[in-house]
Amino acid sequence: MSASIVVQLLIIGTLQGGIYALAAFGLSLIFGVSNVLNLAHGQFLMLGGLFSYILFMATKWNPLLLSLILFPLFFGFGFLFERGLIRPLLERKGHELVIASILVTLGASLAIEDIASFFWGPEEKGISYMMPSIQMGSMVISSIRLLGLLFIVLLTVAVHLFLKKTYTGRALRATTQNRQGAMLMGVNTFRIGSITFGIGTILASAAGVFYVILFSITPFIGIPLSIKYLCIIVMGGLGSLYGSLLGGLILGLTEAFTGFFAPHWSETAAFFILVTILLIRPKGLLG
Amino acid sequence: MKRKFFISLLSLVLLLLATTLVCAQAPKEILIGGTISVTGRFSTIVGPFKKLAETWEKQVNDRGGIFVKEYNKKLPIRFIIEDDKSDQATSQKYYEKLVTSDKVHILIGPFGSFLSFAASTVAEKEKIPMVMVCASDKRLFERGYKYSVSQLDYADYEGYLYLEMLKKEGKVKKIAMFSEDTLHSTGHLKAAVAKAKEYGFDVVLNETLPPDIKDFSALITKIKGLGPDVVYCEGFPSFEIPFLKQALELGLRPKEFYAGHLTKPVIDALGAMSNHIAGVAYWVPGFKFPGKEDYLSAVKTTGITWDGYMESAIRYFSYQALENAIETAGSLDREKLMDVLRKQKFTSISGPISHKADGSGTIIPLPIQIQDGKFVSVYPADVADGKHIFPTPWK
Repeated sequence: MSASIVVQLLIIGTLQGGIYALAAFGLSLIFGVSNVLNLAHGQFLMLGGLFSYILFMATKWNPLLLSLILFPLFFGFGFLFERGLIRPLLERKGHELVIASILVTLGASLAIEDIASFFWGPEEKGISYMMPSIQMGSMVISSIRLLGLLFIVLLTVAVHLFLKKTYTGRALRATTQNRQGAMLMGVNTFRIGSITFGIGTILASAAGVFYVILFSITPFIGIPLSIKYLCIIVMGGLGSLYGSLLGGLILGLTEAFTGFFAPHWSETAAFFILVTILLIRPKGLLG
Repeated sequence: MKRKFFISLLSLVLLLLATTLVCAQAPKEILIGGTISVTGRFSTIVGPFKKLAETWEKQVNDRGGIFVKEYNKKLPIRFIIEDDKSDQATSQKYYEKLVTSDKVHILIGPFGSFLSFAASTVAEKEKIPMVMVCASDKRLFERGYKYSVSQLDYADYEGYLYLEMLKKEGKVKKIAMFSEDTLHSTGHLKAAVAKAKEYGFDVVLNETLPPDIKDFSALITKIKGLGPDVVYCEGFPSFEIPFLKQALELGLRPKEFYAGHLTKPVIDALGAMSNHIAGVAYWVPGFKFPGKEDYLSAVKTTGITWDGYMESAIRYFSYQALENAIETAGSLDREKLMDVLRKQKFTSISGPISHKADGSGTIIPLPIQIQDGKFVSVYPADVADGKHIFPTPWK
């Protein structure tokens, strides 16, 4: 294998990892703050892609710009989702909360799947939007994926600053570390939980926009994606934002290299790495 | 004389009585049972077909139903359709229910080889005819089953006419071939690779990939290095669309792309870049066989388009096969129906249909190409609507 192919695969894996991390980031954030494993996260991504598709077909505007319209809508959706379905569960403790959240979000996920299929049809939907790729000698870099990676890097910095410099961010971190302690310090942890869900949903919808541009969507992609992103955040360390970024990159690179030599085994290889990491570090890489 | 008259009168009375009894046994309607993947992964291909079944039911009933000679009258039809959720076990469970609880007269198959593999076991066990739909994997017909038939020839042959066209044109040397790892597509790929080699093409890639794979970047890098003239991708739209999008985005520009299940969502997802992608179809508007208007009316009433849901044509000519079998058998007796189905010869919307001894059919798809956003049949010349544009004039 030539050096240029190795570099090309490194680029491909890194860019793909960026797309994975974008969605996993939101899932990790929600778990970190609320201790809720949101299995509807993949459906939020699907809805982001679906609404982006609907808006694109109606206006033919740049789908990346259209996502700016979607973000406030999805923030509201996530906020209300938490208020309506998750908050009643927060009275429960420890593993009871985790199990209840899994069941509720799985139910919500199935409902979203059926509703989307009923109203917008079950067929494949993709956006015919392409940006010229960047050619460097024999190597080609996908501009959209590069944009996705830049987006996630900027997002990581922005979220980092938000968590460190703002009151809400500090309250959010405090809630992550000790919910009761934060409450005693006057933090409205319930409100923080809703805001976190809103932000997590925005991140999922942003990943959905990239997803529908790069691949294609159907109402049924959500649950398998939720499981994939769950693996990423487990690999990186539950609740760790940088861990989800690292987990996404490892998965992307594994799939790229296995996909070149033995594409049939790319997903098996990814899960093999997940199990190996968990055996060595049960709390995940940065957990 | 008096005795003779008495015997004749008695015979006439008995005959009338028998006829009345037989007529009294005539069912109120012909019950046709089947499952459709209204939800689950196959719903992207056949989700709206429950409505298509209802539309065809109305078309037939508006004509008075299907004539059944045994009862000397036309009987209306009624579908009992269940959602198999694209799942083998669910489909099998519903077929059991359709036969044992709903007491249907004949079964119409679920979608595709994968589900038919399980569903047809019910037909075989209960000895009830099943007209399979979109079921063409060779392994289905190697089981020696007696109660299921398909209109399609083996999936293996799906790409044959396309490869034959390439051979005749003589402009291709190297082909990169791959498929998703599903029952239908792996059978297709294996046979297509063998045929391509037989035709003297250099098959530079022969791979199967997981059906739910979305990122093809590594494969595309590999294909670029191999420099094929034709990239032959066999899979369902959920597999093909991401591949084609990424291939075009990453600058893969072969002389032609082939996609095994070329449908309108491919055009929608790729826009102008979909131009000149080749594939195959079981029905194209250029066909001059009877029933075309009824089929187009049925898809319109269903709220779909023929090119958005190309499998609708296969389902429609499977309905035609079912109707023809009942009419020809003149009976709803399972054995008589099955006997007719095996020997059946009639002209469907996609041409003549008959069945081989193993239950497989004779219909194979024709090469098509996207030209200016439309599907154009390009081979063979006698049914082609246009010419095969090769190589793709990349802009």
